[in-house]
Amino acid sequence: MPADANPDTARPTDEIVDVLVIGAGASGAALAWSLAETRMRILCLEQGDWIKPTEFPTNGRDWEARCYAEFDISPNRRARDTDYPINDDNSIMKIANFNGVGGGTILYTAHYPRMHPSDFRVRTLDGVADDWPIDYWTLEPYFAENDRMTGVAGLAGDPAYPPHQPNMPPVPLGRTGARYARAVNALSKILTVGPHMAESGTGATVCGGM
Amino acid sequence: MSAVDDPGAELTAAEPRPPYPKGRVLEQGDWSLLDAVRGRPRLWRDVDGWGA
Repeated sequence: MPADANPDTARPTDEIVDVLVIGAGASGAALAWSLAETRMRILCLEQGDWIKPTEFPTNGRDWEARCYAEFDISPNRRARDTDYPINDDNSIMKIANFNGVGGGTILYTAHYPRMHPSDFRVRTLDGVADDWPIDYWTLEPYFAENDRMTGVAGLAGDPAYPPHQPNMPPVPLGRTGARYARAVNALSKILTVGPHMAESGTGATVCGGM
Repeated sequence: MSAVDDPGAELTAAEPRPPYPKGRVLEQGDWSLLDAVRGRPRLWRDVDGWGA
């Protein structure tokens, strides 16, 4: 849909455009936004609907039940008119998506980790898949811009990721997070606080590992 | 029918209502709990020599 489209009236058009973006999820919508200043005519197609925040299940007391129905992460269980079945029987990674403006960001947990420099060198380092023709540091300014536009919250100084400064302050630990942190420290494990979308995070993501 | 466990919510002192749109206020917590983490060597591989 055009960037300035009215969601109630926007419809496919036969107007000739310069750029056609398929899908208005995290990638497609960001791409369309990044091209807007070029003044090119951009059309972003999305097979799903606009989802109003007031329709999210977390507005109701039955939100947990609805997360296993029309807001399930699997299109096979969600089965909306805008969904299609996906056979992931032979994959250890199961499908988690949403068909609508916003794509998977409609349902995701707001966990917003960055890639590692080594993710771009998996053939050289680990002998799997292929190296990318681009490296982390070339993309780093764009990661930062994406974080800024998305409103990513977090703490600087996480040794699990290359140095960067989150734009938003971290979501509070809360009593649960603090208790978990004390337990992890007592076990001499590693505690991390994951990057979060500030607007969506309902609590800090605290993860303990070896 | 509500799927909310009201007795459970009472045990956690949480007001029995949905998370949104009002949200919940969380205590900041003791961020010094992460000092031990910050003091650790980096865990990511600096494959390009940029992150030293």
